Amino acid sequence: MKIISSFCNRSGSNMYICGPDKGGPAAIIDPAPCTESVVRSLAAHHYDIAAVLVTSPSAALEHSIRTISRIYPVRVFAGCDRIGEIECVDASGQSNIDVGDLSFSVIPVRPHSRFSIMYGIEEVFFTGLIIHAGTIGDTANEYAEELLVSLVKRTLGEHGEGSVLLPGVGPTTTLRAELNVNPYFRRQDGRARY
Amino acid sequence: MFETALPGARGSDATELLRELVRTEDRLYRLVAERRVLTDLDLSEFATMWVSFASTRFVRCSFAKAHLENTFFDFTSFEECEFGESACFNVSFAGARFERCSFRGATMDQCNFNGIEAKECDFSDASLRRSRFINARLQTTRFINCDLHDAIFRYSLRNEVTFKHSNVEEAFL
Repeated sequence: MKIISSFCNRSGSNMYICGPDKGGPAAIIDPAPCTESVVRSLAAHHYDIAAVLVTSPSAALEHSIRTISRIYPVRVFAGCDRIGEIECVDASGQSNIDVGDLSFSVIPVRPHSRFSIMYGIEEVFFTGLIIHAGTIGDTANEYAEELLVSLVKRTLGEHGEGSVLLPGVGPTTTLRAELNVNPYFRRQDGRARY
Repeated sequence: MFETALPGARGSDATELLRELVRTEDRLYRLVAERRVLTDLDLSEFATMWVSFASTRFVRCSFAKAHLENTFFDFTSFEECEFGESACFNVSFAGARFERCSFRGATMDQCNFNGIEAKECDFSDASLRRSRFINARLQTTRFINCDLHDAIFRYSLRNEVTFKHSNVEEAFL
């Protein structure tokens, strides 16, 4: 498996392409507007985008998904059945999504929002805006915040602290780093947040 | 996950071995040199991607002009190391310890410095756009003429730290 990460200057967000070593069907996670380097990279790796995985549905993704769907016959997976005018497969009830030889685990994260999902493959998790280096995404209240931290610890902790977290914004991180330096995780451990 | 052992050696032999280990790009995430002490390595113009050096100790190593992307140095220790003019993107140094290290003129955009301890380090003329220093402890460290656009220093403890002449647009100091 290979992962190509791409930073979009315009939206300030990260997009990831995950595909097999030797080319074939691949998935794109939280698509940003396609740049020339992304198109070139897809061609170089012989990838055909077969699925779009959305961590947190938003109108900002609609244009990118529409562009991709005009080039590749993709299925769009999200925590809802529609993003704007784009029909999606509601993945929140599924445990896995298979894209060619790759199998992504589906982790609904309701404390973040009822539509939010993290996707995992091997020891890598695409966390979107749910967790990013040193912080967590917005929640409705402090109770939801506590639930979110507990859920992340419980579900990702099963895969070991070496798990890599690839967020939708900001730098890459690991579960070990978040458990030890993220103020939200430290606070729940009874350690000081500040 | 592919795991390999690297002897805690020093000098040119270790440098060549390390270069060889990270050359192949057939795996997503390789553990290289975990919990090793690497001394006096010349890793200048070194290029890595999706490699982890977690919990390694680097002493007097040079990463000058290195090109690092999606590389993990979590909880690593750097003593008297040189990152001058290196180009790093999406590199995680979370929980790392830096002592007397130089980052002069380096491009370290969107890097994860959360929870680091930096003592007597020099980031002058470096680009640190969108990098994060959340919960970092910085002592006698210089950020002179840096590009800190959208950088986050939330909850960090600072003692004798200067940000003179830096671009702090949209930064959280």
